[in-house]
Amino acid sequence: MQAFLKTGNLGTVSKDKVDPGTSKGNKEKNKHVPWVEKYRPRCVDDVAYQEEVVVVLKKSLQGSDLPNLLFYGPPGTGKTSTILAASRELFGDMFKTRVLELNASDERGINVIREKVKTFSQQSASSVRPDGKPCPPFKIVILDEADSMTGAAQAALRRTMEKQSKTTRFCLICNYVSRIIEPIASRCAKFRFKPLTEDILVKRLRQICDNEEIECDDDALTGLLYTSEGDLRKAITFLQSATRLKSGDRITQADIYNIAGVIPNDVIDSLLTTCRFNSYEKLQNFVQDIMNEGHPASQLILQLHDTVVQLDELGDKQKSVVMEKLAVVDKCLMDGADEFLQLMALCSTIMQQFCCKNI
Amino acid sequence: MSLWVDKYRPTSLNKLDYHKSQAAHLKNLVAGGDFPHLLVYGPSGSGKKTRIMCILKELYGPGVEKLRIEQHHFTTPSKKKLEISTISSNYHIEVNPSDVGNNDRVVIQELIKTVAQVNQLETSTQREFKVVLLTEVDRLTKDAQHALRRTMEKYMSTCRLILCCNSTSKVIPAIKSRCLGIRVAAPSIDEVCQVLQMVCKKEGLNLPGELARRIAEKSNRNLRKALLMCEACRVQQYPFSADQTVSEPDWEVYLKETAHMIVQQQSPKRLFEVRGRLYELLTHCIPADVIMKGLLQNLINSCDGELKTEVIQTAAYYEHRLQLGQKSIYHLEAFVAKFMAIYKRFLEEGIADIF
Amino acid sequence: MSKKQTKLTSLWNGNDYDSDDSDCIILDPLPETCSTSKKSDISVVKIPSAKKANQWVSSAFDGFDDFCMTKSTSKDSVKHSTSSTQREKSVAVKRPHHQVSNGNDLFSTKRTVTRRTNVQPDTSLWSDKYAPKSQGDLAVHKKKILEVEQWIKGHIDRKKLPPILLLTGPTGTGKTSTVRVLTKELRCQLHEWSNPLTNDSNDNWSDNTDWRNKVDSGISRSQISQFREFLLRANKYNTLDIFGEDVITRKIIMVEDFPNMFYKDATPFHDVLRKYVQVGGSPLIFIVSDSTYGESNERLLFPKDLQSQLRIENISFNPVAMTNMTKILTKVASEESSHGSHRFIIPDKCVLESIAMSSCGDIRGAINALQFACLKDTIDLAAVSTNKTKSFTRKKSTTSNKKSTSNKKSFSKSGSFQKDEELMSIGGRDTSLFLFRALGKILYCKRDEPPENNIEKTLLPKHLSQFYRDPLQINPEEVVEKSHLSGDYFGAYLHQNYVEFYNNIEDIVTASEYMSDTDNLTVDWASRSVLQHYVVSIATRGVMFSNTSRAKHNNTSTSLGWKPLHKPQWYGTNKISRQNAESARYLFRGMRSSPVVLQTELIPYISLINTTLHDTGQISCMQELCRFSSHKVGRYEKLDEKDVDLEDDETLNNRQHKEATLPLDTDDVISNSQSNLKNSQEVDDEDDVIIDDYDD
Repeated sequence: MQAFLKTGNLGTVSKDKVDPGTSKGNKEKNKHVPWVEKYRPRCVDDVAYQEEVVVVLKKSLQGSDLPNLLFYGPPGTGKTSTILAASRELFGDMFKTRVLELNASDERGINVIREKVKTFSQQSASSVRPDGKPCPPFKIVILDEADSMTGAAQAALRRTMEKQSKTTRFCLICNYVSRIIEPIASRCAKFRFKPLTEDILVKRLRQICDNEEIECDDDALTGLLYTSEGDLRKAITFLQSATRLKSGDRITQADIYNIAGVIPNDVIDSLLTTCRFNSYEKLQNFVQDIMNEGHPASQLILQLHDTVVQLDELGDKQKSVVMEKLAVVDKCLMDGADEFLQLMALCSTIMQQFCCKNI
Repeated sequence: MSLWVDKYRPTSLNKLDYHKSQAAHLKNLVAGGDFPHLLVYGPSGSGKKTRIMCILKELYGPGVEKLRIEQHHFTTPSKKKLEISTISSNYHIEVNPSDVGNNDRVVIQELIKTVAQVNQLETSTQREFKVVLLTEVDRLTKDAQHALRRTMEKYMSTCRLILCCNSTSKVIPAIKSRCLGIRVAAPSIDEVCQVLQMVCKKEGLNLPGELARRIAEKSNRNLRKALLMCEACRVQQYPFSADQTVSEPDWEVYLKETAHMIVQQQSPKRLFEVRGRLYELLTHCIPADVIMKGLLQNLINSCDGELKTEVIQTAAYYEHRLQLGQKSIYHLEAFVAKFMAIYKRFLEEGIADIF
Repeated sequence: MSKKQTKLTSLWNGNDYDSDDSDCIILDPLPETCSTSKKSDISVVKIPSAKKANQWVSSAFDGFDDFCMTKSTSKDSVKHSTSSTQREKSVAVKRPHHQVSNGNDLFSTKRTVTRRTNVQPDTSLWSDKYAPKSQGDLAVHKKKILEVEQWIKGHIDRKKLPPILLLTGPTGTGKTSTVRVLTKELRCQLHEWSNPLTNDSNDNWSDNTDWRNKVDSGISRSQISQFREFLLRANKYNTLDIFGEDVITRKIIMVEDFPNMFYKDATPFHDVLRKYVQVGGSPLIFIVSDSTYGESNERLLFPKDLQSQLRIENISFNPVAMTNMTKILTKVASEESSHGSHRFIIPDKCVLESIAMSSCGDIRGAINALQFACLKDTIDLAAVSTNKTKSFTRKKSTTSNKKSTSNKKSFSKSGSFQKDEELMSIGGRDTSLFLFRALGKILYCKRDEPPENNIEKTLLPKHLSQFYRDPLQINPEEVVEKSHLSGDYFGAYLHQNYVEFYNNIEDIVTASEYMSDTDNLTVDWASRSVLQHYVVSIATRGVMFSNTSRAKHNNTSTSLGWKPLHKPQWYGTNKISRQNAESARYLFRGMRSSPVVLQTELIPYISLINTTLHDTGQISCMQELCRFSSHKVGRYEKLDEKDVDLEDDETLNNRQHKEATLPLDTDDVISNSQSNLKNSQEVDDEDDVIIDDYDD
C-alpha cells in the first residue's frame, strides 16, 4: 500500500471498467466509484498546477509539522485533494484515525463543531506509525466549505482552534476568503489556488480518457472546458456521465452540452438574429420554441449575458439597458416568475435596443 | 374506457416514439448498473413521466406497473398533521411534495428516510436501491431543496432519486450538480403529427394530415394536449374533415371572451365586469399565472408593434408579483387596468392621427 | 390647592382619612402627572408653600410602602406611583357609588386630582331617574314608536302563533325604554328575563375538588334550562291568570339579557324558540344591541332563516337624533336643578349640544355624561364655600374654554376626527365605526377646503402640480383602526369596492398599482406583522390619492350618489378554488398528473370527450370545474351596513332594500337622518330600511 501511494501514478490505478452486459448479477461495490474519487491525486506532487502551494506544503511535510491552513480558490482546483493527499503522506495507514473531515452537508452548528472536534482531538496521537516510521504527533481537522459557516460558528471555532492547538491542526477550505472572519484568517497560513489553465485540464481529461478507454472528440474536450469553467471536478463528472449514457460510443460536443444543460451557441445566435428583425411575432415564436426544447431560462440568460457583453453591435448605453433588464429578469426567475414572460420581456428589451440604435 | 393519452402511452424505452437516441442513452445508463440520481426536465406534455416510467420498467421489470395508492401521514415539528397520497409499486414511490405547501421539507425527509431504511422486499431483484420519484421539484421550497441535497448523499446506497420538473431554473445548483440532467424537449410538430396518425390508425380512424397538423400547431407541441384535442375532435365529428374546428376547453373560450371584452371597451365599469370573470376563472381552479398568460396571448394580437413591448413588460412585471404575492386578483386586475390604459391611449392616438 | 394636597396625602396615607362610599371623587384634568413626573410636580403644587411641599413629599414616602410594590426611592417614581394609586383608588371608590359607563371611566383616567364634595349627591343615575315615563318622553323617533306600538297592539290579543319581535339598534337608542313605556301605556304586564346570578345547585359543588368545570357546565346548563322554563312558564301563568283579572292577562315577555351559553352555541336557543312558537303564548320581544366588533349577536342568535321561519319581525332603531337628544338633555338638566338634591348651574346650550354630539346617538350615555358634567359644577359650587376659590375658578374657566373651542370647531366644520377626540374627553363614548361607514369614508374621500394662503400648492413645482390634492378631512389610519379590521382584510374590502368610485381608467391604473404593492409588501411572513400598518396606509391613501376626480374639496360632491358596497369576493373565491382543486386531485388521483395539468388540460378535455366516468363524484367535480356561466358577472355579496366581521362565510341575503340618498351636507347629522327617514317612508315601506348618511 505504502509503495503504491508513493508512486502516486495515475496510470497504476487498475482498470476495472466492466462490460455492461456482464455487470448484472455479479457486481462489486468498488466498481462504481465516482471518477472524481478514483482520480483524486494521491500525493502532493500529483496535485495539478498549484506549484507554489505544493512547494510550501512539501517543505512542511519534510519538517513533519504543519501550520493551520486556509485554502481558498474557485471550485474544482484541488483544494480538498491537496490536503487529503498531504495528510495521506503524513499518516499513511493511520489516515482514517488522524483526519476528521467535516463538509457542508454535515450538520455544522457551533455545538456540533465543538463536540466533534473536542472528542476527536482529545485522543492522543503518538509520533510513531505502526510500521515504525515517524509521523507528526497531531491530527488534522478539515473543514470543507468553511465560508458557508455562520459568523458565530466561526467565532466559536477560533476559540477551539486555540485550545486544541497542541494536538490538532485545522485546514479550512473555502471559495471566498472574504467570507472567513479576520481572526481565523490570521491564524492560518493562507494558500490561494489558481484556476486551472486549459492545457492542464485537457491533459488530465486526456489521461482519464486513455485510462477508461473512452473515445472522445477534441470538440468534446473543448466543450468540457467551456462548461466546466476551470472546475476539474465538474469536468470529470460530466465526462463520466457522458460515458455512462453513451456506453462506449464516441463522445461528441453535443453530448457534453446536453449533459451540462448548456444551450448550443447557434440557438443563442439565432435568438439575437431574431431580435434584429424587430418583429414581435417572430420573437415570440422563437422564444416559445426555445421553451419547448426544454432549455431552462436561467441558463439561457446566463449565456445571453456572455454573448451580449461581447457584442460590438451595441453601444455601452444600450448594453447597460440590456444588462439592467437581465438582472431584473434573473431576480424574477429566482422568485419563480413565469419563464416565457420573463424571457419575452428581456428579449423585447434587446429588440428595442437593436432597433433604436439605427435611429 | 380510458383516454387515448393513457391507452397508447409507450411502456418501454424501445417503444418510445421520438427522441430515440436519447432513449438508447437511457438504456445504456440502466444497463451500466451505475445508476445516478436523475433530474428530468422539459416542458409540459413532452413525455417526461412516460420516460421515467420506461426507465423504471427497464430497471425493475414489469413489477413497477403494479401500482397502488397510499396515504402517508406525517407530523411536523409544530405538531401539525399532514397527509399526502403517494403512488407506489414494490420498487418505487411517487410523490408530489408540493401538495403540502410549506411543510414539504418534513415530508421529503421523512418519506425518503422510510423508503431508504426499509430494505428491498424481494432479494431476487437485481437492484440494491429503490427509487423515489419526486414530481414538480421546481415547486419545492428552497428549504426543502436543501434538505433534499443532504438526504441524497445520506441514503445514496439504498435509494435513488428521480426528480421531475418543468424547468431547472428554480432548482438550486447544489441539486443540479448532484444529478444527471436529462432534458426532454417537446416533440416537434411533425413528431406530434406522426403520433396522432399512429394513434388514429390503431383506433381504426382516418385522420386527415391537414387536421393533424392543425391540432399539433394548436397544442403548441404539447403531445398530451394534442391527443386530448384529437380525441375531442373525434367525439365532435367523425369522419374527420380537414377543416373542422378544433374544440377548446371551456375555460379557454371563456378567457378569450374576457380578453375580447377588454379590447372592446376600457372603462372602470368594464374592469369591474372583467374582475367578475377573473374570479369565475379562479373558482374553476385555473391558476392565476395561466390566466395571466392566456390573457396576454389573446390581448397582444390586438396591439401594434410598439405597444406589444410595453404590454409584455407589464405582463412580466405583474406575473412576477403574482407569484410572490398572495392575492393574485390584485395583480391580475392591475395588469388588466394597465392594459386598458395602454390600449385606450393607443386608440386615441390612432384617432388623432386620422384627423 | 393646598387643601387638595392634604387630601391627596391623606388619601393614600390612608389612616387619617376615612374613605366614604358615598364620596364622589372627581378627577381634575392634570394629564401629565402620569407620564412626565417632573412637570406634574409643578402642576399639582400650583401655589406651593415650601413647607407643604415638604410634607407632601415626606408623607409620600411614608405611605409608599403601603401602596407601592417596587422599592424605588427616586422622587420621580414615587410621584408616578402616587398618581396611579390615586387613580385606582378613585375608580374604586366611585364604582360602588354608581355604575360608571365607559365614557366616564375614560374621563376619570384623564383627570387625576381628587377632591371631596361637601354635599352628599343623589345616588341614583340620572339615566334611571329620568327614564321616560310616557311616549312623549321618549327620544326615539315617533315613527319607530308607532311601529312598535302597532306591533304590540296587533299581536297582544291574538293567542295563536306567538309573535316574536326583534329590536335592534346601537346601544342607548331607547329600545328597552320604548318597550317599557308602551307596555305601561297599553296596560300590559311586562315580564323580563334576567340572567340568574347564583344557582340553586351551588351547594353541591362546594366540596367537590374539580369544581371549576362544574361551575361552567352547571351554570350554563341551568341557565339554559331556566331560560326555557321562564319562557314556557310565563305562558302557563298566563293561562292561569285568565281566571283572575282580565287586564293583566295582556302580558309581554321581554328578553334583553341572553344566557351566556347562547353566544357560544345558539342552537339550544333556537330550539327553545321553536318550542315556544309551538306552545304558543304571549308576544315575545327580544332586544339586541349592535356591536362594532366581533361576531354580530343579531346574526348569531337570529339568523335570517330562523327569522323567516318563525316570522320574527325586526325593527331597527337609529341613533337618537341630535335635536331630540339636546331637548331631553335640557329637560333633564332643568328638572334636576330644580328638584334634585343639590343645585347647580344648568349647563349652557352649547355644552349640552356638545354632549349630545359626542354621545353619537346614545341617549343613556349622554345623560350619564351630563350627570357627570353637572356634578362637577356642583363641586365647583361647593368649592366656592371653601377658601380656595381661585384655582378652581381658573380650572373651570379652562374647561369651559375648552368646551367652547371644541364647540366652535364642531360647528365650524364637521367630520374631523380631532374634534371627535376632544369631545370624547368630555364624556362621549368610543366611536367605533361600522365597516360600512369606514369604507365609505375612504372611498368617498372628502377633502377640506385648503386654507387661504395655500403654501403647499405653491410649493409644488409646476410639473408636479398634477399631484396636488386638497387636504383630507379624515385620517385614513384612524378610520381603519376604528373599523377593528386587520389591514389585510380592510385592503380586500377596499379592493372589492374602489373601482366603482373611479371615473377614468388611468386613475384605476395608479390605484391598482398601489393595491398590488400592498400585496407585495406582505410577502415575507417574518416582516408581515410590522409591515401590516404600512400596508393599510398604502391601500387607503393610495385609493384616495389616485382618484383625481376627487382631488379638490369642491368636486368631492360631484354626483357619485350612493353606491352599494360589497364584501370581498377574494376569500370566497379562494376557498372554493381550493376545495375544487382538492376534490379534483383526490377524485382523479389515478390520473397521476400534476394539479395544473389536471385542472387545465385533463378535466376540461374529459368533459369535451364525454368519457364515461363511473364515479359520480368525478362527474360532479368535472361539471363544477367546466361549467362557465357566461352571463353571470360574479358572485358577490352586498355589504350590510352593520356587518362587522367578514370571516364568516355565511351568505347574506341582500333582502334588505336600501335607499339611495344623495350625499348631503355632512354638517347636519340631524337633518340628514331625518330626511333619510322621510325618504324611506316615501319610497319604501319596508320595516328594515336603515338609512344613514353614508357619506360622512
